[in-house]
Amino acid sequence: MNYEYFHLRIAGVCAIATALCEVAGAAVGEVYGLGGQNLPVATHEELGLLAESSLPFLLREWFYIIRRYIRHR
Amino acid sequence: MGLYFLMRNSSLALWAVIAWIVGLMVGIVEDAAVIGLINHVVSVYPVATETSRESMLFATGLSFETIKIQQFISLLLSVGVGGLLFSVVGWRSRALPRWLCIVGILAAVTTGWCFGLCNVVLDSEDAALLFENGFALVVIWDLTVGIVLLSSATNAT
Repeated sequence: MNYEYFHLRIAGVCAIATALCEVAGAAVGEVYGLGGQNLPVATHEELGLLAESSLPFLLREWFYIIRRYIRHR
Repeated sequence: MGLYFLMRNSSLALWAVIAWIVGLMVGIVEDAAVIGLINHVVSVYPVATETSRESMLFATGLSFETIKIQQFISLLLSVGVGGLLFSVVGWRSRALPRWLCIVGILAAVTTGWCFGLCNVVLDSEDAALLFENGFALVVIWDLTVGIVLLSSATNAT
């Protein structure tokens, strides 16, 4: 057991966790039909929709932000 | 950082990890801005007057344009430059399987360069959606890199 072993092990687990977060975020987007990465903020109808169904959008973004936090390990 | 550890003998790996980390930092700021924007719309838009809603439409549109540019910079640096350099170094040093290096290069081109260029510079959502499929390559890349790092850790004992 040495420093290199621990470093590579943590990095490996983080890389796999990153992939899982990416899949989870994409799955939320697919299940709720959120479309691409762009937020619907171009018209009043889209803003109203975003205000009404914000939870899946927030859930997806939290998965993506966690992904970026752990990705650099 | 794990990939850098595997490839640290190459000077390109240093540039890769710098681009990777700076890109991810910009990306974290971008994601936080998206969450903040959604929270703001949820709390303010339903109770706003007609006039306020007009202002909000303009303000959220402006904020989102900024977020799109942050996303472009983030993807360009982390995947487009960092991922590309890691793939090139991995190919040269044989630290990564050849097929994974090809996946990394394709992911860098589609999501790191083409997606952002279509979304921000050309403002073409349809083209951007097409290149968004490249994120599947990023998932394959991350997953396989994780397995490579874990097996390298086992060899390091």
